[in-house]
Amino acid sequence: MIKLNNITKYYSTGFVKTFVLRDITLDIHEGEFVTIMGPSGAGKSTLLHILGMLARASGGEYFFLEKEVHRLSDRQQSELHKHFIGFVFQSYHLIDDLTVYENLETPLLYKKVKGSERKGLIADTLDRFGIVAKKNLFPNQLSGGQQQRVAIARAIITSPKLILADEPTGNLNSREGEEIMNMFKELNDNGTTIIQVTHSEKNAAYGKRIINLLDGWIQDEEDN
Amino acid sequence: MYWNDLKLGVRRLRRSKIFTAINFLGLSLGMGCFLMLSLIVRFEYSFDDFHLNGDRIYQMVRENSWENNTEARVNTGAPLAPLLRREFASIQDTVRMTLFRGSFVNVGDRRFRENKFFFADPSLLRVFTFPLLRGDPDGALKHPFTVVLTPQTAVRLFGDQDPIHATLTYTLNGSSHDFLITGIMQDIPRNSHLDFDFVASYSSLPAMLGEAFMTRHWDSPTWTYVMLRKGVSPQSIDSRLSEFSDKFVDKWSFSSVTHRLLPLEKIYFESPGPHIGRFGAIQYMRIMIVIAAFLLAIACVNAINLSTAQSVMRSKEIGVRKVIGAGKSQLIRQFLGESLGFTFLSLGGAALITGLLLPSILKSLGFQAISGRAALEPGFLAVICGTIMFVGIGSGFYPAVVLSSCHPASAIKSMRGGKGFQTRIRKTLVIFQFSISIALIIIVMLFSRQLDFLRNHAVGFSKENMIVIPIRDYGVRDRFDLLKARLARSSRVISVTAASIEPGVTDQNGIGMRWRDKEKNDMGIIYVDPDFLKVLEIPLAVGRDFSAGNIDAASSLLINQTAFKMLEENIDLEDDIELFYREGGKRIPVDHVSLIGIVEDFHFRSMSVPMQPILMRVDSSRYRYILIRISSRAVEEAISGIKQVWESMNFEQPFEFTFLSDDMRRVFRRFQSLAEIMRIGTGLAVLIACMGLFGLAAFSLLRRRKEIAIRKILGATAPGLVRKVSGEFLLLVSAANLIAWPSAYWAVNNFLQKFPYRISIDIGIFIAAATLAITSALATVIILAVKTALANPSETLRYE
Repeated sequence: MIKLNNITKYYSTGFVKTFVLRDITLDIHEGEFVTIMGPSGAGKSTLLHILGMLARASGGEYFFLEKEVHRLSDRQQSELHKHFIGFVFQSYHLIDDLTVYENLETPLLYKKVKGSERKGLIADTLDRFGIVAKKNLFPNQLSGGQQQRVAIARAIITSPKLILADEPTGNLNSREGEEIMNMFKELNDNGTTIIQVTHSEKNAAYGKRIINLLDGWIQDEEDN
Repeated sequence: MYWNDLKLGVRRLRRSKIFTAINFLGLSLGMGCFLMLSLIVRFEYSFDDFHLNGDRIYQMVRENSWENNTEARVNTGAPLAPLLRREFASIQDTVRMTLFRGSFVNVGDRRFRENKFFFADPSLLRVFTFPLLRGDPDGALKHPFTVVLTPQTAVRLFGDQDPIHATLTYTLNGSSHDFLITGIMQDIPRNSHLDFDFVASYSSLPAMLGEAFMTRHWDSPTWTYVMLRKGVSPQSIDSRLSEFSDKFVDKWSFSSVTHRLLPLEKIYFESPGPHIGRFGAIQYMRIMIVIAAFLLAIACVNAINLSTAQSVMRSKEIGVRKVIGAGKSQLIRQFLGESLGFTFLSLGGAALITGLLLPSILKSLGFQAISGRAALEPGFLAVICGTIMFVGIGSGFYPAVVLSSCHPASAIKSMRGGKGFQTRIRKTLVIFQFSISIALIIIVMLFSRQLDFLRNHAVGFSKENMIVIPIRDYGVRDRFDLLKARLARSSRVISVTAASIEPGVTDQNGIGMRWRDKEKNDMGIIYVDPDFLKVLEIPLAVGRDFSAGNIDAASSLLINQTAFKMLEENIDLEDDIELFYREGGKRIPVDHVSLIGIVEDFHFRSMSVPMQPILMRVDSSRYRYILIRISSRAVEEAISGIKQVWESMNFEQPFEFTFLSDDMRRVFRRFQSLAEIMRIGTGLAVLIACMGLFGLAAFSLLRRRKEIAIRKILGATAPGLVRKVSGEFLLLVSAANLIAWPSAYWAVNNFLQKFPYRISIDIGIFIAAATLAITSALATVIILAVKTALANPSETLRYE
């Protein structure tokens, strides 16, 4: 599903190029559950952003579902990731001025899903994540775990093939974190590809493959 | 989609109440003022647009030249019109209108003082669009001693009775005539420069005033309008007018006289005096337009600044939305929609302000009332829509277009950032706003100072405690000596005199003089009572006064210093001078006089014109104003004493009076109103700019909460922080001065050049204006700065 060839990313300040990712080459197949680990500054989040088409690589090739992402325009990339990728952030990034229901509705609106279909999808998702009672509340009225659940719900409501998660349990306590990771496992069991970035060994254990990054290089890979 | 966006927009507004309120208020005020001024300007430019033949109607303007001067006037005299019709086939029709102010009308035993009793040719009703409600347009003004009234006048004079076929008596200078009412004319629209209460038939005048008035008096208060035939260009007539005037018009004592056509649509603003009716001041319009534009600009800049500042906070939201699938166009639509919606709401606020305040503002400034319906005209609506689009898109532009293009990842991160481009733009805009405000403050201050200067500048005579009674009746003039004697005996009356002018207010006459084989054709001359100089305390430079003993006042002449210099000092006391008129190319001698003295210059005309040379002689048949100096204490008593004396004389003319200082001040009334408008506009500009500054400061501080909290932890003190934060904003405002000072200086200098007597511009005003602006800005920012500096750091840092 995903193929990276010699991906590099640097930022230039003046004459100096600061490399964040160097020569990343890897393959990820559909249905995998991959964890990317490494110390701070290793480039994990950057890699995730590139995978999610939220940022462009400075060099190299990126194939997603056989398409040459690196050659696509911004708009084409946006179309692509709108339909196939869901993103979950460490700090949830829900829209504070919208209710839970409306937060879930927003990606569907951007995809131009029709009214009755929308309603159905949202109702299902609320139910599945056990947050029906909270549907008219605002994010700041929910606990961290609940907010992350909504964030994940928002990420999957469009049925993406791939979910990218950046430290999804970073702001949660251990019980909430466990809940979230179980959800991911369930999604993966049902066929969704998941790539997560995390520090936590415990979280990494849920996945099947670990990629270690150090200073922008892939250090090694291990299988669970 | 749109519903969601709408809900979102409303919730956001409710959340940041203060910023919303500031933005809304500022924008409403700015737009409201813009609307109001636009309405006023639009009304003023709409004058005379209702005449069906409007594009063919012209007012005749007469240009008198002498020496190196040319003077334009619109009183043409009655003989002009028939001559024009005879000589120019392309003139289809002419209309003469004559007005004698201060006449009286009697209905039954009730007497009214009327200032709008006109005499006009019957062609008035053919050429102009003044429909008759009752009466026959062709016949109503045909016969002598017929008159039509407006409905308002009819009610005033006749109450409920039907005025048609009733008579009224018109009295002018003591002689009365009966007029038959033959029609009712529709009330004159407010945007007409012609304003009648009565229109009487022109054919009445020869019977009242003699044939000479119709054929020889070229200087009577008669205005002439012409209507050209269809398809005729005014140039074809203009080019022949100089030849025509030369041939047929009496030059009197001018070296040459010519005429030109003034199109109807330009009369309101460009007609030179004396004015027949309403007249506008074009400088007014220009200044109002400028102020309106400034206010709108400042309010817009506010809106733009505040919204772009806010949008930085929303860049995170934008990033998130992009992640969950928003396309660029959808984002643009969302943000533009928000800002347009907000602008539209502010328009509602603006309309409210306009509706509430406009009538009272108009009244206090001396303008006429304007109907609100003007606001619904397509042209005006277009202006409103344009404004909304401009403001709405301007304020929505940044988040909509610029931020939406950022990559989602960087957008999410950039909430911290914001140094650089955006900040520089915002700072530039603040400087722009304050430059305008400061410049306005300077201009207004200097303008007011110039006005005060003119008002208080020494006029060369003593104007306080002077009562003025205009002479409207020959009887008063004939018995002036007796009146003067009786008044002098009245308590509280110090002295009495009379003149052909009201000093500082009205215009003088003209005459030619010949002495030592030299001639000057048009010297200004005023006719005064012998005690004039004494009563008004005008000093004599050389020689004797009329009131000195051994003087035959009737054959004496005084001149002022400027006249003396103009005659190249080539004149001496005891010189014999012949006074004459020029009429019909002939020289008509008036009298021989002898120069007895030279008077110090005094401002017999208003101070907006330079000092002119003037002759003075005694001639009681020319008196038009009685001037009475009263004691400064017990003014009421003095006036009632004078009234008693007046009534004891049994004049036809009822007692009336004004204060000389009031009349002189009224000359400046137009400028006063202008100054008021500018003052209000400036105050608003500063207010709106400060509101904008407040909003910006609030945002900036919001963003830097974290930085400030950390500084506190590291040891910064609250006062130190306040100083630091306020200092940055003060720098902006100070920079604004650099722009404001030269621009204001240039503008004011330009304006002052028009006044022969003017103030000098000194640095004090600039410093005062700068101080005012800085103080306002400081006050605005300090509250916020203090609040932020006192905030608990742990509170702030908790969520990091």
